[in-house]
Amino acid sequence: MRADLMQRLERLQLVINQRWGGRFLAHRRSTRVGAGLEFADYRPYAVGDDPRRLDWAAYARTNRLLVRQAHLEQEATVYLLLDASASMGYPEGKWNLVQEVAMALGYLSLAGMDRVMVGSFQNTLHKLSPAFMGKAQLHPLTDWITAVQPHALTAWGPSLQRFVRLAPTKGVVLVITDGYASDVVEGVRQLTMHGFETRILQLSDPAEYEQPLGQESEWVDAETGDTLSVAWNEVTQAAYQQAHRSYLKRWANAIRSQGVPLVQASPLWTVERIVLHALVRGGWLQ
Amino acid sequence: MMGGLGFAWPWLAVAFGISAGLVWWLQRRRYQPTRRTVPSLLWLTQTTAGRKGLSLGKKNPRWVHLLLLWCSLGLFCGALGDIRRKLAPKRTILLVDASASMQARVSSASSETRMDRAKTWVSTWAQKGQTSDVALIIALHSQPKALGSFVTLPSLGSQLQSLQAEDAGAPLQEGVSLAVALAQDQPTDIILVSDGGFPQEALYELAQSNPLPPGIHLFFQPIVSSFATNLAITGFGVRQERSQRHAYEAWVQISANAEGPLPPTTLELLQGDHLVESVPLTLSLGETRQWVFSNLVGPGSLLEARLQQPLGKEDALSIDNHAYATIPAPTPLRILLVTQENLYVEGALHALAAGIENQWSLQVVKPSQTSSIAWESVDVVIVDGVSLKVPPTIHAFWLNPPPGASPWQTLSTTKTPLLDVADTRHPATRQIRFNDVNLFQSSVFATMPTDEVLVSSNKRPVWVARKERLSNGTLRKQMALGFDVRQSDLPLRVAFPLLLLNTLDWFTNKPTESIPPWRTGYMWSLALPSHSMNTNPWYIQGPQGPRLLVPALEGHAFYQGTHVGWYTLFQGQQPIYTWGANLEDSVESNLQTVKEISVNHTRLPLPPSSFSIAVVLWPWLVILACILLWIEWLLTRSHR
Repeated sequence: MRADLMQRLERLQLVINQRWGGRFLAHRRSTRVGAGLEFADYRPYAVGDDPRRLDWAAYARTNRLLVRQAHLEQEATVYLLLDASASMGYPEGKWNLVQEVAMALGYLSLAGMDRVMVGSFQNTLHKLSPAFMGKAQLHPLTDWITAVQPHALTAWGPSLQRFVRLAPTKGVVLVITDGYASDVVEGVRQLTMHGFETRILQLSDPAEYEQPLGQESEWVDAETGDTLSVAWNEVTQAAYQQAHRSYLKRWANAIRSQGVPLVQASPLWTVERIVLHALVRGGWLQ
Repeated sequence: MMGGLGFAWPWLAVAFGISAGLVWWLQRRRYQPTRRTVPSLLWLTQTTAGRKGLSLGKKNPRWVHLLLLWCSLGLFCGALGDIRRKLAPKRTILLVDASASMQARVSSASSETRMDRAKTWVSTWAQKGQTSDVALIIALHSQPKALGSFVTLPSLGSQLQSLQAEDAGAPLQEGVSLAVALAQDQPTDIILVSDGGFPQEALYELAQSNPLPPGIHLFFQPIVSSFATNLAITGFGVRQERSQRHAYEAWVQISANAEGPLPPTTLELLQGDHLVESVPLTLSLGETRQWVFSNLVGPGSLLEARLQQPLGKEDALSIDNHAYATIPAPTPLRILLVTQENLYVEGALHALAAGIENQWSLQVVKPSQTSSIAWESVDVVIVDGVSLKVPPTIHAFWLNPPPGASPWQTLSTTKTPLLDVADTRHPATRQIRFNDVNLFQSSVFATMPTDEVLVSSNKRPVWVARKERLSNGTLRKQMALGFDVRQSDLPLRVAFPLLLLNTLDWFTNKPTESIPPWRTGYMWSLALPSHSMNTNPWYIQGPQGPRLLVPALEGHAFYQGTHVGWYTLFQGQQPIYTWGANLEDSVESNLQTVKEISVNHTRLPLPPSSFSIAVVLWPWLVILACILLWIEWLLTRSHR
């Protein structure tokens, strides 16, 4: 990652709406209470409590010894799930963009004291990375991301079901995908049902399929190997674009119907445009 | 195509094959689709109704493009082949049948003849060839004749225009021989254009002739016509009736050749302009029937037999519906009898001269009176056992010539000989027998090689005939009988006046039996009047032409008539006599056409198709090829 991008990322923060309990003190409001700045509740004093946390004003009003409790600010767990199916390798450069976006989000999370874990899935989730915390973990995180290469078919349902079982804690799940799968909704439902805050970044653009007019070609499905003979002219181009628009719209409706925020971007964009503009505008970052 | 392109054909085929393969390979490469991996097709099949949405523009099969390119390539090669073919122009001899059957109409409703159809075929053939090809036309009629020299095809029209059918048959073998001679051993195609009406003998003759030289090929182009209905007069003759020499009888033979019903026909016999007899005909298919019309009189008059058919139902060939013949006019004959006294001979001659059928004048003189006789004033002299001081220069009949006093050399004398006719076909011995003639003795003559022995005794000549050419070119006939008729019983027999009659008829060339008219297509040997002192040239005027000078030799004029009708012999401006000429050819009158001719059990092939892209066409071929390429480009563009 470039240094200027890293500097700009450090000014941003991943917006997380849910709260989970963490292990370390950090900047995310935790579901746990303890010694913190933000008042959470009172509880009766018990032997062993720190007398400094007694609320003497409350004792004066109620004549009861109450201990002030505050929300703990801990780290959150950010899961970067990469759709590493074969379709993500086409067109050329798309997977690099995915990796860069994942690194940017990971770095951003590391800088925000969050725990970052990375996973890639195809027809299943084969492995989940160890948790990375702190900027110093950027390089191991980058190495882990770059080690992933796209291949095989996509199956959201089994993959995310396995993810739910492997994930050590609840957290926010950022899925980067192109959306070319038939069981996306089923997979998303697995995440939301188990309390993960899910967000999906879809990288898809009709331009992935564009080719010169008049050229006849045989399209090969990167995942299934199916073929389709295409004579690319004005008619077929218009039909294709219409179909792609229709697909994107239908796909977005299906995702949003599950209450999952969706950001659609083009794989032809730069990482800056996606992270600094699209995700900010989509409410992921602030 | 092969014949048309000549030597260029194999090279063009190879060039076309290679380039067609190259085009196929390029086309395959051109349409080999680029394999392109795309992220997914799943969404596409889910969103669109199948794959048709992206298959638009593939409606034109690729083989259409390939076919168009191959056609263009073939046209280019064709144009190239045409240019190459100019290097080797073809030589063709068109042997066009110009016989009588080619005058037959091709249908009952039109006047188009088979010759017209043959001309049309030749014209079309010439138009298809290339302009550098050369050809000539041989008219295959009674005397096959080239109508010009080898000319280029566009110049062949003048020869074609001069092609006319004759009223005669066509000698096939002579025509082919002439064509081979004109080919001069150069590669030449000989195309026989005919309806195939040749007799089997002609095909056999052709098969037995020398084989065609290398490079010369004989083809047959049939001129086919289904209209072959024909009634023909295939024989017509006049003869003097033997029982009454002043009357004549005409003989007519009619043949019916038809594929369909025969039209109602009437046979009419006309003498001069007058109808003599009319006979309705009821002939069946393939039938040949003869009629004899007797008791015709009127020497010198003209006879015509004709077939009358209803208007609109005429048969296919009209020239054999007429036949012509002449009743010969009796020739006045001046006879001089030189005798001491022989009442048998004198009486017989007087009896014969008295008949109206013989216009004879008889003069009887003693041998001493012959010195005052001008031989030019006499046609025939009969010398009866006497010697003449001045030998005659006219026809002479020597009866018992004394040894040494006549042109006849006597070898010996035979006593009571038994006579036998040695030459029964000679006109003088017709209907005469000598087997039972009794006589005392006879001289035996020494004969010359050209003499004809008519009667012999134990193979020793007793009656001899001789022909000799005089210094003035006229032909003189002489005859010698070796015995005195008074010392035999011959004068008591009917054979004696018949002997005199036959002899005098032979002297004067008078036909004694049938008087057939001449047939067209044959060389005619026309007897000239004897002792004509007129040195004017001889002419013949036929039915279709002006008077033609004819050669005369040994008392005969020679001419080959080729048209049916009346002919007249002239000496100077003086008409001598008229005769008729008829087709009388059953082969020509049989109008069945054939589609193939076999010579020596080998069918003559059809002429090679003159498909050759003519020189004037090759630019059009290139344009057509370019148009096809343009269409192919349009179809390709429609994919975009």
